[in-house]
Amino acid sequence: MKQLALVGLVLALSTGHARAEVVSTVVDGGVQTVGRITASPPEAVRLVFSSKEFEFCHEPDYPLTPAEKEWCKLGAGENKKVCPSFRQVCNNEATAKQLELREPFSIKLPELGLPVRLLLWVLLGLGLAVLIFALVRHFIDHKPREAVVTTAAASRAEDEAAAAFARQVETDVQRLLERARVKAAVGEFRAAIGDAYAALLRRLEGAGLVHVESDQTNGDYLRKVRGERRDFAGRMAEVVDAVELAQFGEEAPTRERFDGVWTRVNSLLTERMGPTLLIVWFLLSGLGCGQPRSDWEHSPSGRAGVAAYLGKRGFDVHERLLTVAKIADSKAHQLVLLPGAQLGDDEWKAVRAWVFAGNSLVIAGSARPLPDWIAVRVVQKPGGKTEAVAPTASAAQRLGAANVRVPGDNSVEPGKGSEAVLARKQGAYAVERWLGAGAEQEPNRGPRILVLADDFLFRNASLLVGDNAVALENLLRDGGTSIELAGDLTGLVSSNPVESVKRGRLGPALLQLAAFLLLFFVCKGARFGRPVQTQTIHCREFAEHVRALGLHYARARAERHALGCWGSYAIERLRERCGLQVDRSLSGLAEAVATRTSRPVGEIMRTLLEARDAKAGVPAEKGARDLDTVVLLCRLLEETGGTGGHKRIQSHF
Amino acid sequence: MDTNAFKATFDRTRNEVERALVGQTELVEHALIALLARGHVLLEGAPGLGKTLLVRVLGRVLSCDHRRIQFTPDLMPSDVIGGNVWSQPKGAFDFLKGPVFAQFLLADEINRAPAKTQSALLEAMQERQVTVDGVSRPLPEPFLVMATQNPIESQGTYPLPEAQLDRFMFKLAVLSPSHEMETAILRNHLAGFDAQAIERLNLERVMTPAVLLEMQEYARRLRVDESIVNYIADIVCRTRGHRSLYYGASPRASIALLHGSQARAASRGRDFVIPDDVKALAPAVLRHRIGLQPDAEIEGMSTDDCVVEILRDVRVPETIAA
Repeated sequence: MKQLALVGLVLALSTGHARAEVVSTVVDGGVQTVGRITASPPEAVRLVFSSKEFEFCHEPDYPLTPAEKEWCKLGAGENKKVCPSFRQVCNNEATAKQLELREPFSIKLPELGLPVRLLLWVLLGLGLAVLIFALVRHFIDHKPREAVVTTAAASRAEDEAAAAFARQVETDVQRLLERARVKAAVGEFRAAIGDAYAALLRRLEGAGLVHVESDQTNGDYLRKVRGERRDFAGRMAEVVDAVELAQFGEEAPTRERFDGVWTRVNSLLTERMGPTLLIVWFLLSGLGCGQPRSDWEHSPSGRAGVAAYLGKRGFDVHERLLTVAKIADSKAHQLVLLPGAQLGDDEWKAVRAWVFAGNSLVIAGSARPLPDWIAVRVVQKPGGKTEAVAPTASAAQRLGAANVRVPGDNSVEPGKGSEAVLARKQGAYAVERWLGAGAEQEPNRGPRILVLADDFLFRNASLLVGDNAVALENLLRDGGTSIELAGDLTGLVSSNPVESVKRGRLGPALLQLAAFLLLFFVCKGARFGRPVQTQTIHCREFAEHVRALGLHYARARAERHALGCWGSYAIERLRERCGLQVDRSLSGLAEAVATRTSRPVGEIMRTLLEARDAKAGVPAEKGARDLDTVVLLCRLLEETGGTGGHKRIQSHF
Repeated sequence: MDTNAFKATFDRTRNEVERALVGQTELVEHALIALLARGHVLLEGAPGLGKTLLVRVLGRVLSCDHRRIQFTPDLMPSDVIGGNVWSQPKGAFDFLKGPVFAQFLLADEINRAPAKTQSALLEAMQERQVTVDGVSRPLPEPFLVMATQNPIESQGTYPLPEAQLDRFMFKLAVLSPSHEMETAILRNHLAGFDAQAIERLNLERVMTPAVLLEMQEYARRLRVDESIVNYIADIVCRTRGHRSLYYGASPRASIALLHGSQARAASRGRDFVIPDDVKALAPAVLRHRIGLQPDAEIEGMSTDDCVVEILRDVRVPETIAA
């Protein structure tokens, strides 16, 4: 006898009076000791649902999904002692949203070679290092300031300087509020008020109402807020008045002052958060469709109750997170594949090898065809008429439960070597197949595959119906008491970042992020992350320098000196242009210029004489207009032919 | 006198003045603040904007006597402060008081008089007394000089020397009214308003000179936190090394900013000064006390731009910005 159930188990199960028996089974020739049975089946069910986590048993207003209402038809609400509120819950409208299992959308990333994977690991390592460095630096930066808060010996001025500095650095609203509270607790009300007010300003900055700058006064902030939110500004003004009184009007603010500021700031912050919380609530509640349900695992459709029940009945049940491909490393003897489990070819191969190695497999419904080696087909008929399920004659004694009821009309078509253990009129509901050597001659021994038409027996509500709990327990008992449940989360852990992205279905999100960064890069350029002060570099023209110099001279009442400098230059240029380098007389020059410009000789002569006198330092006559003389010299240069630069100088004069 | 009474009196005074002077709210407020801070005001603006009316209305509302001097190129110092004249019956010199012996003095177009005459006001504005032939005579209290000048005309004018400018606590720009205010002024005139007969307006005499002096005393006692004192000093000191400025403001500017801020704080119903008071008054206090470099002038900068730049560089006390 390779496998044998021992030690009074059957008696305890059938009578339902066992309290703390130790159950052992022989698996592959060895004795496997399992957990203690702490309660009989009815008692175990009652204990499980006595927990407040199962709200549907304690909250009459608990919303059911339309599918869960089917359990009501099967009499799940009848057992008032076990689940007092479920009957009332059954009378409620089915307003909760069904949590549906569906194929997730994902993009298959290409298989990457070792170098690329290595690069990804290096990048990940670098990212972690930067994160750790930032955290350490943050901790070091903040440590002295925290110390200042708690060191009573430090002077008040130092405290306030440190607090002000910390306030400037900290931008997180919640941390500022927390710091304000801590400082108020130790009696530093001035700093506490500053922190509370800083929290308000940071929140306003986050809302885009103000921009915190070192040159902005509270009045500036208030005026900006008044421009945007007049209704809000009135109450903000009250806060500002109190804060300014504490900061500039009092030697030592009191607790009452802090309390006043604290209350007002919190009121304003809460108001600001209102719309945000509303949006978050809408997002979290699926944009407002259906009523919110708390923990799904503890709902009638969840499995937490089943696991707890089996635990009380001596089973060791836990959820499998590692991929099924590594099932060979598992210490469990029975694997339950729930509908959410996603198995590929590799996983099925691993499962097959593991089962043939002497373990048991339970398939609780499947929307996809099963591999051929299982030799069983699941037929799903959603919405079919509910019929009672009964043990077949061959399994009646072993299962010990006659009243099994589950919703729907799903069925299983047994293949070669398999045998129905639970059946409806329309067909089999559960089929098992023994795979051990000589299984045909010696049934119920060796590796086993048990296929159920669906997973209803593994749902919490099922425990409330008929003999479902006992039937499930007895169905599983032959496969061993150490069970792993493979469901939605199975296989999501991975050994490398690429696999992790793939399993986490983060591909689309990462691609969107990359596209966003690319767009940002295109719009802002490579330096978008750095603060750049745009400054126009203005290069002054020579004429502007001359004008500035002229203004200096004018301010110093030195126009005559300017005329002297400019006049000597202009006379030399005029001589050049008139070809009079040899003849140095002003009269000859005046005549030559007059000839070329058609101006009166006398006017030109007066101008040239003024320029010469200014150069020689002769004082100006009363009413002399030196700047007019400069302008006239410019015109003469222009009219005798020049490059045009004089025009600009002239225009400035 | 307490804060609430101060604010109530200030508000009533302002409202009364604004009944006659429409659309110049900031001008009226700053003029009153200068008055309460014992300062003088230089008004710069085009003719016809109500500068003279402001002084007359202030004199009426504050129950103070007021005089007006039209400054001209041939005005002599004795025409302003008065002088000794021979009294035949007494056989001695009698001092004949000039128009400066008034509580409110309007020095109209002050830049039309030469520097010699302008300087006659130096002692009066600073020491609040005049000295003639070695004898000093105190001026009545309160004493406020409001001088006007036209920024457009330059022919035949004498720019005020820096020492004279420094005596003015505020330099205020009298701005042209908006279209809305212009129509309000016209409606006032249609309703019978006559700037030459403000008596007909039945303006309330809100306070007496004694109350005004009490308010001046109260404003000077207002609390000024150490951080505010540092803020004022920071602002004024920065004018001295600014790259665009030829010269910076004197310590008298700091004092003016301090007392002006106290008066403003009191007018807002506070018994302590906040940075907003300082920042609001800094342009009025500093714009005439600093001189631009020629290259800054060429670039089109004004002294107001420089003050704004300085205010942007100076950290406000208790700011939370890094």
